[in-house]
Amino acid sequence: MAKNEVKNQIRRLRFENGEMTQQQLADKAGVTRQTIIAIESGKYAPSLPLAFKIARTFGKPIEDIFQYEDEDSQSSAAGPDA
Amino acid sequence: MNRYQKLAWFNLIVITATILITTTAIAIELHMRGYSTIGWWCFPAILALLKFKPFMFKKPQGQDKVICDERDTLIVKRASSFAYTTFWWVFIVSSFAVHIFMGMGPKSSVPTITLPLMAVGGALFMVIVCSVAILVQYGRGGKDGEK
Repeated sequence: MAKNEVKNQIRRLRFENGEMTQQQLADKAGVTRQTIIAIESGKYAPSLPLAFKIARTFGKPIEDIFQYEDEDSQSSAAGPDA
Repeated sequence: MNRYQKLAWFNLIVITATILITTTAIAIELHMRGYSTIGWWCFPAILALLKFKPFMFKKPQGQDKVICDERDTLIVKRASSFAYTTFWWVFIVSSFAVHIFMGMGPKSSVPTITLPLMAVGGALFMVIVCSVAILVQYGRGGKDGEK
């Protein structure tokens, strides 16, 4: 079975946006700080509406923040010889 | 620790205390008098504490802080679903256990208290499983204090 994973750049973007704290981001996105912690560490994949809210908080498109990765895309990105 | 975690711990503590105190009281009474009356009253009396949950863990008034979001809802939903499924499995297995251990033979009978006990025990079991499932899921989702 292919392993699916949603990676994110939230941690990096928080620091690029004036060292925004997890609590500040949580307040802006309308969630708890625990949820931000879980998303950042990749333990929880947010719903689409929440992903959009987070993206709007940083003023970036959603693809810049969340990347969907599975084994198939990783092997195709590495090329047929890999 | 958020509201749901506090509620889960509260449930676990009250139910554990109920079982321990009731069992001890019944055992002591049975040992001293040969029958038990006070012990059986301990059970509903302590369990009634569960009714105080809404007053003990009220949502703070006048604060805009989010106390429940989509992840919390998902965790509680999963835990409830798991507890409900587990309850039915245990209920079915215990029904067969009653039949095997008490209901075999031509003149066998099952005491009338068995079914209410199974129902109450099942309800408590469901609350325990749900609480543990909530705590386990929060445990996996990251710790406080990270930045």
